[in-house]
Amino acid sequence: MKDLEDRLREALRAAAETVDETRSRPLPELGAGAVRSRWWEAHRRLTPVLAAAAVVLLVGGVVSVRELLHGGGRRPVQQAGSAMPRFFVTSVLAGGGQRSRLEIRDSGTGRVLDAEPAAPGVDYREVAAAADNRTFFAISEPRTGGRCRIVIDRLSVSEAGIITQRDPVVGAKVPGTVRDSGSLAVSPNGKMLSYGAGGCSAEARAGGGDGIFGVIDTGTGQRWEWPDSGGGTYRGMSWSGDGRYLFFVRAVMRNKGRQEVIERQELRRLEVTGRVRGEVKEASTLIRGVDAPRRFAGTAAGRDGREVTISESGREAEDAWSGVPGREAAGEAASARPWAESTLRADAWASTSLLGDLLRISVADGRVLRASTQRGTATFDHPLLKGDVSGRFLLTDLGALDTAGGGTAHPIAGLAHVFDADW
Amino acid sequence: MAVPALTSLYREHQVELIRLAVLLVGDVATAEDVVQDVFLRLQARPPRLQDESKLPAYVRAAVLNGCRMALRRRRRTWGHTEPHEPPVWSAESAVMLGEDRREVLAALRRLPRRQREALVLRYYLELDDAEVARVMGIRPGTVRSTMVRALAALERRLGEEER
Repeated sequence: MKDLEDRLREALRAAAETVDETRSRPLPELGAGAVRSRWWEAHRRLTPVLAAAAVVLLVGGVVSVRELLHGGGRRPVQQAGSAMPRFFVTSVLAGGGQRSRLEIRDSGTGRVLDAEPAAPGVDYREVAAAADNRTFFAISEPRTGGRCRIVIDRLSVSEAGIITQRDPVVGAKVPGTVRDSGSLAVSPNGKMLSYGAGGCSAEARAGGGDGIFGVIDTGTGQRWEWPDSGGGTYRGMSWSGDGRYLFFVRAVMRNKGRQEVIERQELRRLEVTGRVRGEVKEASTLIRGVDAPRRFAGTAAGRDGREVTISESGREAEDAWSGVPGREAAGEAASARPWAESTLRADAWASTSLLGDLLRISVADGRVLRASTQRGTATFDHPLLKGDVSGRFLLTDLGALDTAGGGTAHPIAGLAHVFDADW
Repeated sequence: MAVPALTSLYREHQVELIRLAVLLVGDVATAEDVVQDVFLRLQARPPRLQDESKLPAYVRAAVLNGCRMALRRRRRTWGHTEPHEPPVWSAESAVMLGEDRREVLAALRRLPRRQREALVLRYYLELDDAEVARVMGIRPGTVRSTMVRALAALERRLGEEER
């Protein structure tokens, strides 16, 4: 090895000596642009910062122009949907000396992160959450007397769950009254709001008569309403993940025999992009219908609008029927439909106060694709069922439900004694 | 750093630095470019050293980096043009250096970059492990292990050539 080291040392020295040490090589000096070069060297680290700032300004400018052109509407980013939403919003009615309020809660713990009180004499009622889980909407209306008008507010929430902004949605002051639960829903991108309300006539305010069913563009304030000569009321609204379809439950009174009048509930789907005008019944597609005492508690649309999960209670009534598009129009009588008995647990039907069955329904033909029973007493005066954008997680009276995880609800604190909730 | 101090440093170390660069890049012209670039950068952006005695080590490290960049540029250029043998390890150099030295340099050239740099710093500049580590920006322990592997590899390659 010593020999090798010597050979190496000698070779290196010989090669190095090929450099002529007598040759004049003056110190190179900075040229005429030296001052500029020095300045540039000192500040060249600013280049990426300035470039990034320019890009941000450019993008910001483009977004601002788009916002101005579209009436300032916010377009929340669609949530990935692989995890449970981080927050949920609840509405609490006035009581115990406290004003009505909206609460932003942590989905994992139920802890209240922030609250927004309503104006005195006003109640927050229905709530809805956009897919970004940072934008929420709420219907408010005067508690007693006063004007027959509902107002829809928009709430923006920070990453920490703190309410950063509350403002009324443009064009969302609608003559009417909140009549039923689940009568507010927002499309996943936060652009379209659907609402259901009772009319302002004396009959409507008494719970009957005309109902209002409409959609608002939250950016422009433009509003579309579909008339309903059948006097239907609307609840359980939810949008498909692609924002194309709106699912809702329409409740109408119908005669059963000569003496008896019962409520019929219809699960319907409306294709909003086409904005088909005319009566609700004609513009939408009937998927499934039940007669009282059966009822639909809510709907949670699937991502692509081809499936919808519903909560259905009151199974002791035997007159459920499946409505197929065109069948009702053809005047066919409602017929008993065999349920997916083998997939349902027989001990789950003791009371309509149970949350009931969660049924995943095929929109095309009303078939039950999957059924599970959620046992437990509803903490709301109406059962709660709200889906997230992925269609996988459901917010129910019993807590959070992962439909891909076996169907057992994970209890969430803070759902008791609230009027409505969504995530 | 004032220009006179830099001038003094340049006068004192330029030949040694150019020779170091020649051993790494293989030709005098490139080596001179590398060293001049280093001193131009030192004028444009003088180093902030708390201990002025560390300046030679700092300049050696800068020359080493300059050589790496020159070799990188050369590899990219050779990807598109005819490859050439830098004079130090070319066949012509055997006339000047002798066949045995040319073989050693050719074997050295084929070593991985880190091993080649470690051997040049140790056996040409006669730096100890700590100084080599400082110039190369690696730990002294790594220098020792690199050196052992480099000598073994060099011996192996020389053995192959002699057979």
